[in-house]
Amino acid sequence: MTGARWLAALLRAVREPPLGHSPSEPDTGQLPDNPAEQAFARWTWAGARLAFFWIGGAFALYVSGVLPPGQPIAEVERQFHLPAGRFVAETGAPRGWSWLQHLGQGDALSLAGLVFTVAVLALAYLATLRVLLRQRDWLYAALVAAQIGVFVWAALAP
Amino acid sequence: MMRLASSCAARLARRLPPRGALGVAAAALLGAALLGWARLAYGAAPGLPEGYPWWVWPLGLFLFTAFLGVLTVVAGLGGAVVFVPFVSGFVPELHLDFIRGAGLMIALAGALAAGPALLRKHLVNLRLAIPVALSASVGSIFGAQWGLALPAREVELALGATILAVAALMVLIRAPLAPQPHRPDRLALLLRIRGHYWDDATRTWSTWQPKGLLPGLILFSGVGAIGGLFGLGAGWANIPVLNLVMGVPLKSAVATSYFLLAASGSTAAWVYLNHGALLPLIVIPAVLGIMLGARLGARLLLRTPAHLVRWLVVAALVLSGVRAVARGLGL
Repeated sequence: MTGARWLAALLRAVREPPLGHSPSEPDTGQLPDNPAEQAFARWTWAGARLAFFWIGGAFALYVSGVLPPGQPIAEVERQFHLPAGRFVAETGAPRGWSWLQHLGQGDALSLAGLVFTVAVLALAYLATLRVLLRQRDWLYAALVAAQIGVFVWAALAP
Repeated sequence: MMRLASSCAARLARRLPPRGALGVAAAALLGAALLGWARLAYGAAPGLPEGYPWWVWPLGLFLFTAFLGVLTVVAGLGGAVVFVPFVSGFVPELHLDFIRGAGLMIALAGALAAGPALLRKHLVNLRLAIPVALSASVGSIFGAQWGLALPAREVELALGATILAVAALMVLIRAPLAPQPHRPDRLALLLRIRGHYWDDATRTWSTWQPKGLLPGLILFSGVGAIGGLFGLGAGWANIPVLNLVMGVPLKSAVATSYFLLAASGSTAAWVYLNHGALLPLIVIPAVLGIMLGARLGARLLLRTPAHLVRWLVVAALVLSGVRAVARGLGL
């Protein structure tokens, strides 16, 4: 029930922006809220909250052993003095997108939460792009599309 | 879980004595005790001795970053700029790759948490932030790739020099610089960048237009590269560039800096993720700890002698910068 209420609040947050003038600010009418800024704020606000719950919950499942990890914690602790490349080679830890195949494991689910945290900004940019295209602001739509391209490049680069 | 943690933090903050300095001193003692315990427990040898409880690392990191969160908010800095040099300097059991990955996630989480409220107050101007963030993001990819390819010792030497420069900046720039009246440049006019914000101090709406957009874009690609290379948020560099080079008012510069941190941090974090340098066992306690500490720090802000904490942070930066340089030189 709490979970359903929380999900409903999250969906409401995506629909209703945490924007608008605060009570201490006079609404002079000179500054209509920018729909692109609204979209960006809405998605980062809701996405960040979901991300923090996700990483907190997944980490609890991981360290409590409810979801057994792919790499035992003791093994991770023994090897994390190694550079990332050697660490992956020694422990078989997931790199790139290989964690997707192990979502039933506590460490992979926690990593998925981190991936979602990193992806929140790309989602907010996508929502902003939609608004800019609707407003026919082609120059900024192109800049936002380029930024999304940079995120994709970073996410897929070897 | 976060709500429970934040409500506990709020309750704890309300119960603190009126002189918040006592709380900061207690947190400092706790942090020092934890570090000392960790050093005694692990010695200089890498890895965890057999039979040691697994929870020492996540719990220690959580408490340490919560303490850092309090300190950095009161000192007006991002968490990553203290986390990365301090942990790399004093916790040799953790490789620099994982520390930098955690540093980036700390910067990103802080920026994501602060961003919507700053947009709501009209302090972030998307028309300025979008092109500048694009430039910083491209730089951060190259910085991150470069940082993961270079030997750790060289990165540590450069990190030490950068951190000492940050400490010098903190000492030299004492008061915010108000931008002089200027004409907006052509590129800013072409992009129709015009910012407004409500100034609580003067209780008026202020309007501004940036200058020097092209040099700003070039500088931001460098700042992004530094952020990606060292896993720092680089707010310490964003704000002076926005304020001094581009003529953005300080309040808007601070807010826009959060947007840039989010964009460049997110881009660099993808690179670290691809190389397997984001370890949940390190990153998640660090992110949760710094968020909790930042909330506690925000409550303590008005009751704490900020200049004292600022000097404490400068001392910590100098100490960790010197230590990083020494490690980089193999001393």
